Amino acid sequence: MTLKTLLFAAMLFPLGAFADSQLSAEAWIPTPPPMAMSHAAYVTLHNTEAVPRVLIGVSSDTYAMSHLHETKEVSGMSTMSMLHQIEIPAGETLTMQPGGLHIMLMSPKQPVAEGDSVMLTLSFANGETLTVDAMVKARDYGS
Amino acid sequence: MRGALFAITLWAASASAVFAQVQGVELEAPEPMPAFELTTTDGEVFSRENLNDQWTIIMFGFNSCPDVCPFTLSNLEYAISETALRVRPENVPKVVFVSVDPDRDADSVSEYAQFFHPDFRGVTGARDQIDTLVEATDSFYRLLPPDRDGNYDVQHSSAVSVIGPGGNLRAKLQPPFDPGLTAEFLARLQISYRKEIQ
Repeated sequence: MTLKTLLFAAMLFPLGAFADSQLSAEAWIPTPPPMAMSHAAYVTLHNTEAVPRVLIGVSSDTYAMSHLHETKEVSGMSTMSMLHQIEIPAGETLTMQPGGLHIMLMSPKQPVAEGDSVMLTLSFANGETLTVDAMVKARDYGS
Repeated sequence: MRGALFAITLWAASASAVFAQVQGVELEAPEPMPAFELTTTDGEVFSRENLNDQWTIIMFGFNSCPDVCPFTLSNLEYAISETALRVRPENVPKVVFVSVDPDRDADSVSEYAQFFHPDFRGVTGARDQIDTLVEATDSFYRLLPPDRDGNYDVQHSSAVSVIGPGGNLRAKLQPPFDPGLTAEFLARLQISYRKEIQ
């Protein structure tokens, strides 16, 4: 690969997206109450590839444990379940939001406060990983 | 008791869009609350007597609830701020977060609730006292079996209970708690209460 092709590639795939993947993500964490032993992160994941991708896990050095989770409302009861995989069809975006899909982060190793950014590593069924910085910020109504 | 107790009238203003967003249900016959005694982290008592001279919104949950409880408390904060613009200061409902998980939350439930608004109260207590209030408000919860690490999840009602002065359950509100529509619902509920006691 010549220098010229490399430069061209760098122009096409800025910000470190120069990988064999067409996945990108944004994430946020609603500022958690300081005494909460677990809280949530919400990720928006874009799959611009021509094939489906399967999210199988999440990890973060900031927490003892992290799970893919879903809140469901069943006959007026709010119930949560752990998910082992979430498929993102080709060309689609997965949007996690309060009251639905979320990442449950358990036992923070240090306090997490507004303005912090927490690195999450998303793992996919094909062995690929994607890191995303989740911004800790206050909630607006409905989020 | 459920179903039989609640001869429910749907408060469905006029537009169906309103109904879609404020899932408020006004009870046809207000239901008196029984005696109970719960406490804040500091040992301050919250009991049946506290319901007498105020409007109260009771929500059940637990501090380790990652998604729904903080979401609901935060939405309630917006809804109560909006309600404060429409009703007299003494009629602004007091939000009480009742943890159904006293083993883990007794030491922090009040601070947890106050994180969302300084006026929110967080209480918990003995299992039978929690259950008394849960049952009286037609609510539910279930502690799930712990995993190998001793972590457990808690299922609970997502609706909150609106208790009027005199300690009668008058309405249930389902999420989402759209601030404007929830405020409108609560203000109307107070108007119908005043007509009733006249």
